[in-house]
Amino acid sequence: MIKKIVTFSLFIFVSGLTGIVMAGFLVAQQKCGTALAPGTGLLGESGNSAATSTSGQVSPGGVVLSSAEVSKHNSGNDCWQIINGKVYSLSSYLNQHPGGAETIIPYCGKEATAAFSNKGNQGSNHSDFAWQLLDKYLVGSLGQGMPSSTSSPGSSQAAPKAPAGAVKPGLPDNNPAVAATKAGDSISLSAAEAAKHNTAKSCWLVVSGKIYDVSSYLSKHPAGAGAITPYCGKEATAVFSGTGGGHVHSSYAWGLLGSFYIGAIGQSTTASTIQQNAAGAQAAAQQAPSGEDDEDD
Amino acid sequence: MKTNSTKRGWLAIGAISLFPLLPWLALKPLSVRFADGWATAMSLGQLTGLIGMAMFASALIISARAKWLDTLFNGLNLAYVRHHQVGAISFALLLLHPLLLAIKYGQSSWQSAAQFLLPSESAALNYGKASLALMILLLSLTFYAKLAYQTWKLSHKFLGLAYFLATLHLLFVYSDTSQSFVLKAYMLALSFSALTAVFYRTVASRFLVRICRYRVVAVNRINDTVVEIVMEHEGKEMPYNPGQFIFISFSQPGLAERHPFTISSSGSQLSVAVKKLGDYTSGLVGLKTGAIASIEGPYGRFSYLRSVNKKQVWLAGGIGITPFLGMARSLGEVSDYDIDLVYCVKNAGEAAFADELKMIAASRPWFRVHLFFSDEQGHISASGISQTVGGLKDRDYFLCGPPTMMGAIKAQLKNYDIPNELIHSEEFAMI
Repeated sequence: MIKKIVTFSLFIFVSGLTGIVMAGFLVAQQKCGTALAPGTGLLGESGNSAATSTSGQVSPGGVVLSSAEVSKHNSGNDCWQIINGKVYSLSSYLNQHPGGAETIIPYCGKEATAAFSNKGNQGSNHSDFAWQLLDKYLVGSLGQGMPSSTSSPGSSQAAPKAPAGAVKPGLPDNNPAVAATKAGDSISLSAAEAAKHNTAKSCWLVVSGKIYDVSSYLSKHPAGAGAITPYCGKEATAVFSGTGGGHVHSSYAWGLLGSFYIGAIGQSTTASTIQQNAAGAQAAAQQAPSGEDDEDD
Repeated sequence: MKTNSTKRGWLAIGAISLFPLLPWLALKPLSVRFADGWATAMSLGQLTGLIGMAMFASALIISARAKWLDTLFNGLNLAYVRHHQVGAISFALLLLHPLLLAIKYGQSSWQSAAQFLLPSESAALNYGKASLALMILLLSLTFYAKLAYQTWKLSHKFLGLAYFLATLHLLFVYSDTSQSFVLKAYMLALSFSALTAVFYRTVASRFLVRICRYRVVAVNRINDTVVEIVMEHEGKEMPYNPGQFIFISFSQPGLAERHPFTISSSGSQLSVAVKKLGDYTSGLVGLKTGAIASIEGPYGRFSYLRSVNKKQVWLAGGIGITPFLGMARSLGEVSDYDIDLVYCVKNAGEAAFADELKMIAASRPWFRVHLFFSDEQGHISASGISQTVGGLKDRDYFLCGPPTMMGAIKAQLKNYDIPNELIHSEEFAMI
């Protein structure tokens, strides 16, 4: 009996280990074929989004990444941190942190180099892997110019259509690796803009005056995608909070929603900032790569 | 009572192993812990780690071979059975621990999950991986390799090192344990106790454990395969009860390994009956008188005096006769006990000590010896016992023999509604 338990566990262990390592290897192989930026493109399912794997942003003037600017992004929904003189937007990653979101949130809007290097006084550094993973969430270097948006790079897998907003010529970034030519285009977030994203492929929800792109999450919704799709492109505050007859969502669900945040109504953002975190959102939604940025409707 | 004592052991192990659940549960609400599949995998990963470590610690503490364990587990041999079981379960849990956590990493990407499982730059993670690798190696030896007793024992001691590495992992890795003072304090205290137990057993025991010196005065050949070694004390005499067991090593080349043996004597002389089974026991046939025996013990609580009923069945299989031999030799002329000894062997040639036992029975009508030859009568069964002794009810049962025989008889007695507390058995599978 005891020996059987041990044999069974060893079998599970060996198969699990082999399975996961093989899966990881296969994913790595795939990414090698498509990644545009070696070194960062290897990090998971986000690799298919070119914008995420480069640290460069077209910076059409406006905001400079300063400590003061970073300090505005100081919540779980909108979390920027400074690590080694670079600014990272970790909003979409929070829920995936193996050590829990709540260990990162205290550093939102702040300098976090020391905390990241010693795991909040744990005395141990993050792994090289974690440092690499961090690159995925890079916004830019301190002092670097950014698009005029002050909104948080939320998350979206869909690149919104180029909006009517003017394209401001930006200061050339000193990083030459620029992937998306329209990355700096400004998009003003409005109910009208949200309404364009009214399909399951590109589904934006307006909840409490904020816009969330939940496209990548639909298939994961416990109550089914069908419960969300009718609200794509629409105001969904009532139904999400349960006052409109919908399900009363847990605080976890609210937290999860945060990882799909694009910006508040009235703010503007850019294609690049949205793209930038598409990967994070995709991972947050635990989605199999669904591929292309869509340009429909 | 036997059952209560058995339960007492399990209760102690359960309390030690499951205590980490409390601070773990207090740390975060269950709705967060088990919010979705990924969170659940991570939570189970944490739990298998915590409980696995606590059970590993229990197994190490049990292996300390201390007197209080003898009491807690109703015999040190039973303590070793628990050690074996708890150790195996903890191993199973610890194997699942990294896999479940890797699934959580799979939420980001399966590549990160794979990197998480392979050796990495993080020392804290590597401690855990090294510990698990060592456990896999050592426990594979235990479960699948047929090593010589002493080689196996030496290999098994390195599990202390595996536990030490696991403690480093626990100490440095970022986890719930590092966030909760209670959890951290508890797990470290447990680790400290376990490592102390290992230290006590592997290093300090030679200074701390009392060893009695006896001199071999006779090596009696009982039959082709059984010898009885008779010893007298050189220094202080070791008090014991018939049915207990001791660890002996002899001052003779090839016999210096320390092995457990059941005492077959009663009185101031000390004897053990040994059957040729392995290299070591075969070597004992060549033991010379005058050799010095270093004896640790006595341990065990297998005794007909610890019973519910004075009406008893003693069931011996083969060399399992030794504790009963000691008890029979200790019987007075008059007693209010009523004992049937059923002695199962293949044939008359194997029935060591049968003549002596019959002599003891001859003058005591309340002590009867029944020989059962499996070559002629097949395997002994509960109904066979019933026919031999005249019914099964209202008796205590004392069993000592091959594990398969004891397992079968226990199961059959239960089928006859004999309650657990009336069944006493001496397990010798794993010491």
